[in-house]
Amino acid sequence: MITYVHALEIDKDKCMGRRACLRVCPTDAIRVKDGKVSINPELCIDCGECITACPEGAIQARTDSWADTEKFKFKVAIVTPTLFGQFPMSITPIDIINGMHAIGFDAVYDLSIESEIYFRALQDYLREYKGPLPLISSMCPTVVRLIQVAYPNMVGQVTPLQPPREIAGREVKKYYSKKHGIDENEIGAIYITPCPAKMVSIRQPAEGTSSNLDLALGMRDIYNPLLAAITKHKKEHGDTAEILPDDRLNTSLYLSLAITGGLSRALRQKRYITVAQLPHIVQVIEDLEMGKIRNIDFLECFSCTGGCIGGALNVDNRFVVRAKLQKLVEVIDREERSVEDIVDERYEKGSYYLHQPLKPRKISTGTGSIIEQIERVKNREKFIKNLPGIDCGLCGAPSCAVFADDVAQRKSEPEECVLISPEKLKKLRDFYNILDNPDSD
Amino acid sequence: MSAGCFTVKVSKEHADMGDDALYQKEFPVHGGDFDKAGEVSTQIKAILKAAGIPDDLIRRVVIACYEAEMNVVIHADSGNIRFLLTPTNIQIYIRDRGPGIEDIEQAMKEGFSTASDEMREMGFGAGMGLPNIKKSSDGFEITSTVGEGTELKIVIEHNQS
Repeated sequence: MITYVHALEIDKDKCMGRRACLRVCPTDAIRVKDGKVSINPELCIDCGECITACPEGAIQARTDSWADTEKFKFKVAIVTPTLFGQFPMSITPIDIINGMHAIGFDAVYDLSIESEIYFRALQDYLREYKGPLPLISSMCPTVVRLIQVAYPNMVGQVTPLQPPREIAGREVKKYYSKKHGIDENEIGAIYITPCPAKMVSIRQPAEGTSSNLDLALGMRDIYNPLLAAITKHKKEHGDTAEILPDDRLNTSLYLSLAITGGLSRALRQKRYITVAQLPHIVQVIEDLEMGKIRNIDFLECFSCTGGCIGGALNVDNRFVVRAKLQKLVEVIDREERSVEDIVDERYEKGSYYLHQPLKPRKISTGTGSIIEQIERVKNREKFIKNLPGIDCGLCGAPSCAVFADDVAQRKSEPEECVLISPEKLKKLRDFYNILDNPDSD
Repeated sequence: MSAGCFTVKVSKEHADMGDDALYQKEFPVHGGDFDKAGEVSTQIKAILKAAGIPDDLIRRVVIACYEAEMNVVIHADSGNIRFLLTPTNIQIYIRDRGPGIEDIEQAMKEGFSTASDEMREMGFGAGMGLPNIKKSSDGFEITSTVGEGTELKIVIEHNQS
């Protein structure tokens, strides 16, 4: 049995059992029991929807902390375009990089080269691939996990390539170790993450090997000290156009990588579709499975609205970030030529595959012979007729249908439904302190 | 057999109409109801998933069933889908009242469609309909009477008992 690592932490003291999370969970992983939320680790895909939905802030993303970085002699921050979009336009990527030094990083490394390498690897893979279409982008860890959990049939269609951040992790270790004569283990490849899912993908990659990255710091967690450092640096040094020799900042196609459609456009694939948000992704995958959608070569999916710029650890409004990044692409001098030269030099065909193939996640559901299982299906159908179908969530399951599943699998009791059991209703009234005559003193 | 009948049998005789069915259910399908098109296939998929049928088999059932369901929605006035699960196989009977198929042999040819090329390129319309169903099934039978309707039988073996 595998124990799944997750980035979500529930603060049971803060949880008021208000069930907002229940309704947004795309894999129905959440239940409320005795007024408190619990998440089934087998089904959780770390999308972070529940973090955003909780009115109490009782569900939190657990990323690494600054203290975790101290074990590394040389700390490299791996930054994404999303970070560059979090600040006012007057703060340039160069200012941000200088600020990163001020808060304690030894080098800052962007993903421009690795993104180009990824595009090339993807194009090579698409050209030679003969299996069922469409291929699905492996950039978003939540999407990869959604397919492992809910569409086990399609895991073979997820492109088996390391995303740019992983390619960068390997390069960072190699490059700085050689440059400064430090052991690779002493170099910290620290990813600045816009979402909790990437932290999970570092601790426990979906394919089950180990990540090339060491840690993930939440963008939200470093934002305040970083902004202060940038402001101070600007005051002392004015506008800088220089970065330190250890830093890497190129601008290229990669700036649009955090926005939906960025990857597909870069691929110039004739037949691609771009989908964001889990309910839409689920719809598209269902339609693909049935053959309702056909003749698509590539499917670019992001769990968050708008792409990574919509991640739960972003600071600024995602639509504003998108506008800023688009502006940035226009404003900044394009250095694509030099990027291309570096990529030409570094690119090694066939060396960016995941270390092992992706497999479906094993979910422990009801077992037994087909006769026993079908008996459960029939019981469920009989039982569901007796439910109101209003999905109130008071039983602790997200919908009447899921509740019926739980009862059929003996994970819950029919009496959990308040319309079946007046006792349960009374219990809930007590729990939420509902008075009989709220107006009377 | 009446005029216009045509039968393709791919594998051995299959148990008929539910004597040994572990589960059976009938769903109505309405011609022209694109809002609900595909819903029957989705429901059948959920039942098979809950019954522990392997995913690759479910995928074949769903592809075949969806094609057949869409044929009813696109071409017929009304119809129904009867779904049976036996200890050894999955049987789906699709019956519609509609125009019927004039030349079944022609309709069974790969790529035959009344839909335009552009429509097919976009993924809409038929074209792979009947041959696609046959390809996904272990057993496939079709009977059609022009002016009355079409009957389809799809069998997929699972041997999970």
